[in-house]
Amino acid sequence: MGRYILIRFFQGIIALFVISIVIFLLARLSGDPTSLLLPINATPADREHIVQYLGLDKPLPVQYQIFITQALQGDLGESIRVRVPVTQLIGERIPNSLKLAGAALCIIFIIGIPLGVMAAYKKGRFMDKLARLVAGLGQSAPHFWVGLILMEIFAVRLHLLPVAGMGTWQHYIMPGFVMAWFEMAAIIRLLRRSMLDSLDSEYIRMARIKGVSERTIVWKHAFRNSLLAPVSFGGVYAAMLITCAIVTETVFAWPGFGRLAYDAILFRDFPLMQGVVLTTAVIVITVNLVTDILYAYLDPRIRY
Amino acid sequence: MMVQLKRINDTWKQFRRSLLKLQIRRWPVVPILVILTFLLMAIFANLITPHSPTEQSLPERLIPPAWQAGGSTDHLLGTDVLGRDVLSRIIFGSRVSLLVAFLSLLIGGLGGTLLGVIAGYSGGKLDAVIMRAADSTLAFPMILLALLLAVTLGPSLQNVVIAISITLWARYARAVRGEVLSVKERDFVAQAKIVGCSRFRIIVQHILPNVLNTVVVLLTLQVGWVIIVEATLSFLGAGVPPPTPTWGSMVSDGREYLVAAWWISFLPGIAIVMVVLSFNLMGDWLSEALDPKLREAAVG
Repeated sequence: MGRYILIRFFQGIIALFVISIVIFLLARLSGDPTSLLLPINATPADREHIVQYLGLDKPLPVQYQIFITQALQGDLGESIRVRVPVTQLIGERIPNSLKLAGAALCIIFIIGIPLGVMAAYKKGRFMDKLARLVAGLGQSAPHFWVGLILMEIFAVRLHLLPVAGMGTWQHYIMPGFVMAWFEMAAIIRLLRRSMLDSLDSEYIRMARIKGVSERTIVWKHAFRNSLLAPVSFGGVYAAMLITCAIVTETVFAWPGFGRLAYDAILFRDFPLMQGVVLTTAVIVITVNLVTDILYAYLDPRIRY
Repeated sequence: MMVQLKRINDTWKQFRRSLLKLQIRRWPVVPILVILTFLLMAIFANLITPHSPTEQSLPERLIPPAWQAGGSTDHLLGTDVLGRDVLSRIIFGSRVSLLVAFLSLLIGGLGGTLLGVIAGYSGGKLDAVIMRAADSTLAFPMILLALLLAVTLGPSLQNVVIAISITLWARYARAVRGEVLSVKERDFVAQAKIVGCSRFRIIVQHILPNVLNTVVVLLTLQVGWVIIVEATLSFLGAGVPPPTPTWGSMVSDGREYLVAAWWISFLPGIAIVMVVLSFNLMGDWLSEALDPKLREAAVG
């Protein structure tokens, strides 16, 4: 078990290094940020000055070395556009995104899990069809469109909810739902399938023969065993959440990490881009690692 | 000896047989019809659109759809802020979505499969390198990666396809490698080696047909997702550039007019939902028929 963790940990570190090289190269390839920063009538001398200030005139390997050594010390450079340390920008935005992600997760658990379980238990009947409809639409409707439509209906026409931005608990409802829907769909379907498999198995039949109550069978036995399948996708969910966050936060003007990433890419802000990508990679790799360890712990059959 | 040779050659036949097992009466009729409709729309776009998708007509701006007050049958789904016919743009938009989806899946899926076969069959260092690359790619949120690539390479059709293909290959490589590893150990492969088949022949004749089930399932389940990714990229401004109409950019264009002219954003989204839902339903049906164990592998 310890060896397994160590192996996965080192794989993660290697992946992180590879990603850092890739993003370093991509950022440099994506274009010249100086043209976006300088006013039109800038002289060549001004341009020289900026290039030197940003350290863009040094050869690539040297730039990479500077980047890595600084990063390992916790310094991700300064945003080209806003002149604020990258770590500070990221640090400001991540809590906002986490709050939104938290709201989304609440919705997923409160609505998704019961729907998934009920869909399996009442297979073929109304609950099942409803759950599958919700899941099907959730996986088919693009976030940005759902967000816009919800905004249009609930905020603009009905004035029930605030249009955009962050603030009171009402601000969390629409973006949270938009972020939750896609993943909720996946959870509903996965849970439904696992539950169907579990409910069919021998030990459940045995429990019924023994006279155990339906409720105990569904929630204590079948549900616990079905949790394994959705949990194993934990890492995929984390990546998904960050993906959804970019779009959702842009649509709802939420001051979060996703929007920061989008702005960074749009404005070719090298240090910010690198910082954002590395942070994302760290988050996803960590979640993957934890999920794998959890999975190996829960299911003794899985070993490297 | 002759009897054993006959059994070795059966694998492609088995694959064909498993495809034929999809009985006609259990086909998901509605999704297939929807998909065919959109496919035909995309192919014959020039012939069926009432107007040109890019022709602006300022006197005809912001006309509502035909069933609303102020609408006209000349523009069944209304016009946008520059007077362009929404229906025509949706029809032409289907071209971009379906083309990008098709090409990305072809390149990403084929490339990933190839790499997966190489990794699984060769083993050793090659396997390790390919799998590490796949893991690194998968550790990335897809849209972030696609955005980065699309913005780096510049907005154009090829670059969108390349960007999406790069986000796709790793999943295929991993799934295929797993399959190859298990198929490699089976009897008929050993028999083929004993008989003296070349490596190439073993891969093509014996390993590939067993692996293709997995690949087909993954492909069908991912079409919908790829279409959504393309639409998202267009919405964020990193997709195929104007004046080509894409569903995503149409939704983005209509953002400012949500109150006054809801149809500009709403209707392309409906098109997306219809196509993606149909592909998802068809993918589910196909994957259940071909290999029930694999559906979970392609979630997201």
